[in-house]
Amino acid sequence: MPNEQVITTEEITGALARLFVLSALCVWAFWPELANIASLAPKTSETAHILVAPVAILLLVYHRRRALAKNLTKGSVWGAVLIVAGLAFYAGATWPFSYGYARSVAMVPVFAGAILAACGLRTLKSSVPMLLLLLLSLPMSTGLNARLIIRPETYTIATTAKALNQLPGIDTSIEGKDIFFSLSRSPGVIALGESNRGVRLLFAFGIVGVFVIFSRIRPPWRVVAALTAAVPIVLFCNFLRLLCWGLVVIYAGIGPANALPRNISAVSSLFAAYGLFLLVCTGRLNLFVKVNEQENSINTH
Amino acid sequence: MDEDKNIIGAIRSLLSFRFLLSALILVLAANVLRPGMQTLNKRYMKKPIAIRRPLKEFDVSRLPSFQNDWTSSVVQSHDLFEDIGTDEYTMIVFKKEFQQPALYVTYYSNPKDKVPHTPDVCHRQSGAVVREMRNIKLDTPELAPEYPQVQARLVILQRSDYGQAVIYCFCVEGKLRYSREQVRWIIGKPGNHYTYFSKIEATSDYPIHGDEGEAIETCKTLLREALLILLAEHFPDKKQLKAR
Repeated sequence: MPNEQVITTEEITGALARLFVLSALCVWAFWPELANIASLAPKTSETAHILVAPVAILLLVYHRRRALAKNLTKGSVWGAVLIVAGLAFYAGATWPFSYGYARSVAMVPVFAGAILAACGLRTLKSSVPMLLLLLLSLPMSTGLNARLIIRPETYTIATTAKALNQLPGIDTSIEGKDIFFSLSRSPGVIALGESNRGVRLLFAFGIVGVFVIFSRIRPPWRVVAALTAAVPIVLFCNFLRLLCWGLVVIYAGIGPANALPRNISAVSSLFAAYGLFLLVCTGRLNLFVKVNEQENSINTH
Repeated sequence: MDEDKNIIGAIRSLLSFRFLLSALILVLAANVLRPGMQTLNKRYMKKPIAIRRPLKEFDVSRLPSFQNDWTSSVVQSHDLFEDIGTDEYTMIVFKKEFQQPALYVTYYSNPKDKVPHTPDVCHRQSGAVVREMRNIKLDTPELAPEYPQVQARLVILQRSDYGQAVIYCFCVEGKLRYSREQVRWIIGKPGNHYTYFSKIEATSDYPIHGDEGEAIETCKTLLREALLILLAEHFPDKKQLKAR
C-alpha cells in the first residue's frame, strides 16, 4: 500500500475532541427541537423508532469505526460553510416562513457541517448512513404527513382487503380506513381506531433498512441496489403488517380492544423488513451463523 | 508520556481556525439565532384583516348557473362546524331533481391559524375512500387577466352508497392556490401588511355506479362562479392588504 495514509493516535484523539465539542454545540443549538422530538418519541408506536435511532447510529459508528478512522483528516473550513447553510435554512423556516419539520431537517446539514469541520470530507462521506438515520428519525408534521400518506394508505388498505377476500369464507369491505370482514357470518373490523393504520411504521422500516444496508462496508452497486429496493420493501412490509393484523384478528377472534394483533403484526413485519433488506444486501439470508463456520473462523484466527 | 502527548495534541487541534470558526457560529446560533428570528417574526408578522362582507351574506342569486329550477339552503348546524377554527364560514346546499351540489367556504385571517385540512384528508376520517385525486385547471375568463385559468384539486370519493366529487382551492391574500403548503408559503412571504386565507370547496354527489363526469362539471361551474363573487365582494382586495 504505497499511498496509504497513516493516522496517528494523536490525530484520532484530536479529531474526536473536535467532533465531540462541535456535536455538543449542535445539540445545544437545536435543543428545543431535540427536546420536542424526545418528548414525542415514547407517545405512539408511530414515533417509537426515534428511541432506537441513537442506538442504531452508535452501532453503525462502531461497525464502521475502522473506515471512519482511516478517512480522518484535519477537517475542512467548508464545514463552517455547511453549518451556516443549515442555520440559514433553519432561520428561513422560523421567519418569514414557519415550517416546524423544516426546522428539524436543518439539523442534518448542521451536523454534517460539524463532521466536515472536525474530521474532513472522507469521514463525512462515511457518515452519510448515520445522517440518513438522523433524517429518518425526525417526526414529520401531522399536516404534511396526513397529505403524503393518502395514496400509500389507500392502496395498502385496498390490497389488504383484496388479499383477505381470497381466503375461504371471508368477505371484506372497506369504509374509509376501516376494513370490515365477515367470517361464518360473524362480523368484525381490522385495526379499528388506530390512526394512520395503513402506513404506520414506514419510518421504522426505513430505519431497519438503512441500518442493515450500512451495517457492513458493501460494494457500491450493492448499496445502490438495496437503496433502490428500499421503497418497495418498506411498502411491502407495511402491507404485510396490516395483513398479519387482519389474519390474527380474523382467525384468533380477538376483539378490537386487544393489543395482541397490533404487537404481533408490528414485530413480524419488522422482522420481515430485516430479512428482506438482508436478502437484498447479501443475496442470501444469513440470519444465523452456523456453529461449524464459527468454529472454523475461530481456528483460522 | 504518550497519553500526555495525545491530550496536548487534542487541545492543540481545538485551536485550529476551522474548528474555532465552526464553534463560534454554533455558539452564536444557540444564543442569538432563535431569539433573533422569533423577534423578527413578532415584529413583522402579518396582521389579521376582517372580511369585507360576511360569508353568511353570500348572494346565491348571483350564481347564474344555479337559478331557475335550483333551490338553495344554508346549512345552519353549529355542531358540524365546531372544530373548523373560525366563525366566518358558509355552507350552501343547492337542489335540483337528483343533483345536490354544495358550496363550502371558510375564511381565516390570523396568521397563526392553522390552514384547514383538505377534503382528501378529512373525508377519509368520515368513512370515504379516495378513488382519485389530481390537479385540474378551471377556465376562468372572468378573472382574467390575473387568473384566466385557476389550478384546483379534484378528489373523487367513494362512500358506501354513493360517490362524491369534490373540487377545492384556496384563496390566500388574493392569490388562488391548491395546496396547504402553497398557502403557508404565501402567508410567510413578505410583502403584504395583512393576511387572510380561505378554503373554497364545491362538492357534488353521484350514484354509486354512475358517471362522475356530470358531478365534476357541476363542481367546476359552482366553484368558478363562486370564486368570482368571493373575490369581487367578500375577500379583502390588494390595496387593503398593503395599506398600513
